[in-house]
Amino acid sequence: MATNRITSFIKALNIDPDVGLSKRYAIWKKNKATLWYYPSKNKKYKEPIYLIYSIVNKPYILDLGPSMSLIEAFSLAGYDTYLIDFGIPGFEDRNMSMDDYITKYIHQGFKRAIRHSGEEEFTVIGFCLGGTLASIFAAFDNNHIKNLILAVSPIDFASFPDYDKWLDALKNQEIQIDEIIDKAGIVPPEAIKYGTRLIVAPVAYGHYLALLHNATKDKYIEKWSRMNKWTLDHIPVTGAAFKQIMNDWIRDNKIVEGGLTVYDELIDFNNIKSNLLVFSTMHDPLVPSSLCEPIMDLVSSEDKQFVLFEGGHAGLVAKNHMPEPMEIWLKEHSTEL
Amino acid sequence: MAQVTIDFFELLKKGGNLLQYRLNNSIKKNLNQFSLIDFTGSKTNPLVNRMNHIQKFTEQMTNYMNLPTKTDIANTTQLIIQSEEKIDQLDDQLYDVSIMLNEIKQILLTQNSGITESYSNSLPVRIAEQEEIIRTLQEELNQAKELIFQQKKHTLSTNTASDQAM
Repeated sequence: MATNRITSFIKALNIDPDVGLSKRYAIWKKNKATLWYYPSKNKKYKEPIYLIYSIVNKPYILDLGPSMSLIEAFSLAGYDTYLIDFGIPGFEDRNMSMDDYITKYIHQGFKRAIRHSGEEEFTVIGFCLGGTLASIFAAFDNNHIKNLILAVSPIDFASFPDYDKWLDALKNQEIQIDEIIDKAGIVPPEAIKYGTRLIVAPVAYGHYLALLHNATKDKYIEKWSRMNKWTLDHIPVTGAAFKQIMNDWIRDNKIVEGGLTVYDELIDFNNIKSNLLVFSTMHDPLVPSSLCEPIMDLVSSEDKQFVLFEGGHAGLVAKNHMPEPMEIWLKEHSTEL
Repeated sequence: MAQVTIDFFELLKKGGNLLQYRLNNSIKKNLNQFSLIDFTGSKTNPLVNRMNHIQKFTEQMTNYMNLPTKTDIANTTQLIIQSEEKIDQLDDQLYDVSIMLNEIKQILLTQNSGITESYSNSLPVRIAEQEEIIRTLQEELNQAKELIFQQKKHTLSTNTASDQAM
């Protein structure tokens, strides 16, 4: 019995699963980015969904595989879905800033999605840093965003309990990262991977023990191997974007304190009038809920709700259904056909 | 008497997780120290200087060897990306024109008083012709964009291959 378990544990470590299996069509491409369209077989709602994912991971976490895909859940529930996939930046993209991501990719992709769908109103959903980008985008142009959902998206960087001294040093400019980033051009995926690990869990073997414990369950192994693949699959971040995250978002906390600009245009989060759902999870050392909740006070949306879920950073989206409060909220805020 | 089954692997998981939690807390506490911050701060400038020297040396060497540098390839790719952006802008403008033409056609269909009958009949035909031209142009732009995309891929893969060979 124990031998079987260990054999299947070793086998599971060597699985390279296929991910992103939902039927999709590329409707626009630019540089490395692609706007994907996932049609719903039984479209029930007028407003399509526009997904924005983080720039440090690959977005296939939203479509890990059959029955563990949020995108599949959207399609089954009757929503047409679009995903702006930024692709993997290279050294040639070193000058691509957050302003570029917002105006040249998110905004342009959104226009293409409007053009493709023929719909005037959308639900925009942002995950992790993608949610931070989504909120800036919504403040930049709120015209066609009926609903805005931000999932585990950091907004307020005023405090970071585990590394408060590092944050203070960054705020006091005792640590300067600009020159080293300029020299490197891009932040390599390994730096992102180990940086994230330092924040979350410098020593991480718990997931292997969980796999060993569940090594006799095929379903568990399937999900584990997909999730593990994604966890190790970081992408580089362009130097200009990284500097903006570190200097404008974290050091100067401009999203909350004010002064954030996109191509010199001041971003006022008060411009966000869309219906807003913000959700965060209880056990997320990477983006604790204290980093997400302050967006509630920045926007002028009349219909806004903050929900705290049980769970971790990514587990929420790797299921065969939407989180229940999100499903109900989305249904209530979409127009049935 | 009730029998209690102990699952070794569950115990291992729970015990391991507890140890992991404690180890991580200890590591984080030790990393969150001013001495380490000072050390990092003091090493940044020498590292930047070293990177600077290496990059300058490489630039000079590749110049003598008549080879393009990573920056040269990146700059070429930037030009390709700019072409992509221009094509997108043209495509957007064509789309706006086609929307406008469609609106004009709708207006003409509903309010054709005051226009001679032959002119009123020929206008929708002319607009349809313009729309067809725009569609063709949009298709051609998409083809051009695809070609540019392939060219960029080729440029980057050649660069990666030469990087690996070195």
